[in-house]
Amino acid sequence: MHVAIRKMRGIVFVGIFLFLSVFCIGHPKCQVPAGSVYNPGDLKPTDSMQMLKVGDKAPDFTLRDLSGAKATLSQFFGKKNVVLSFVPAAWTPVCSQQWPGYNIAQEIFDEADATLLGITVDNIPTLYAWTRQMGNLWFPVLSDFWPHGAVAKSYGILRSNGESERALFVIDKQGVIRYIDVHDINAMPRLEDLAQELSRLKSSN
Amino acid sequence: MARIHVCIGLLVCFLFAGTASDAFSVDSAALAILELPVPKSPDARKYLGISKSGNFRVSEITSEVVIVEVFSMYCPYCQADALNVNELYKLIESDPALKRRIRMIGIGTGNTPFEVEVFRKKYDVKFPLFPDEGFSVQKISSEPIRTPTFITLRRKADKSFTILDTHIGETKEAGAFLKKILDGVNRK
Repeated sequence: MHVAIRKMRGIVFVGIFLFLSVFCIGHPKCQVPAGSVYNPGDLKPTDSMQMLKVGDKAPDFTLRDLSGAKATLSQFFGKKNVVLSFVPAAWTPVCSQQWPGYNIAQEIFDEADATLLGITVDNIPTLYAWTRQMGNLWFPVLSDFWPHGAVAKSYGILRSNGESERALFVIDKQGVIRYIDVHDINAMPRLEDLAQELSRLKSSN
Repeated sequence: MARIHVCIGLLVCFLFAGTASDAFSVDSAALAILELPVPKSPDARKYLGISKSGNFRVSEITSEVVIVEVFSMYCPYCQADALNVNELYKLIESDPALKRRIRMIGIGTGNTPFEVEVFRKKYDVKFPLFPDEGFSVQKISSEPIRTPTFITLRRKADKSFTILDTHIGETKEAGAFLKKILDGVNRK
């Protein structure tokens, strides 16, 4: 009898846990506890040696997205303009809002025939958990985790602590870098600055 | 059985941690004198009762009650709540008595005019939204204002504003949110 009661308790508990997990964690409007976002305080605005300049050929790379599929920069050459958005790390204040902002601005990218690739040095499970709270992102998110920060390093934006800078690169269909914004890591790049560059790219195509 | 209740309690606390409102105080006088750019749209100016140009103060809005949403175009929770907030506006505008008494505005903390416009267009927001690139609205509070936060102001007999309600987080359900505001209005 006692065994049966214990089993019942177990079933009830597991049932409630599964219900709440699906209802809350999987719900697009579920709040991530504010305490989950790590606040690193004010950081050195930039902490790397920039190697690339406008007019350079963009270094090619292959990274895995959240599904584990490979994405290669050069696959877009001849087809799409590309915006690379490097953000320093998951679960940090500005980064947790930058991509949700781009998520409602798809039109700006579409009008310039551009795609967006979001990149961080975090591993895929971390990126998966973090981006779940952003809603359904229309652009792929790529992990530059291993070899750690290799792509960020090839773009000259790997900081001394192993994170990347907050940086934007606009690359045209020929694979040439047309705009670089290695931004103050503590601040959000203004959307209109990127929109203006994309608009310029569109008019020069 | 008690052990199950404790486990469930802990689980619910864990899952819903962060949805509760943190206690923080808003300086009603500072909010009242917060300056915003006069909207270009004549309809928006008429809605707010502002006839001047340049900047205006929140206290110059002529209605009895003003609901101020502090939001950010970049905030995923503000995005997710945008349709609920639109519904709140619709509920107010569809009731002649409420329409006369209540105005809504949104202040995009840290947002440029361009970013606010992206948000407005994306969600077809009908009430006036204002940019706040310099984070001025953050200065009215003792703590950083999380987004979205809804601050409801009510005009007193001496014409100054008092804070009726501060709601941190999404409205979630427009009808219930409006009821809470109206309960507060009718109580005071």
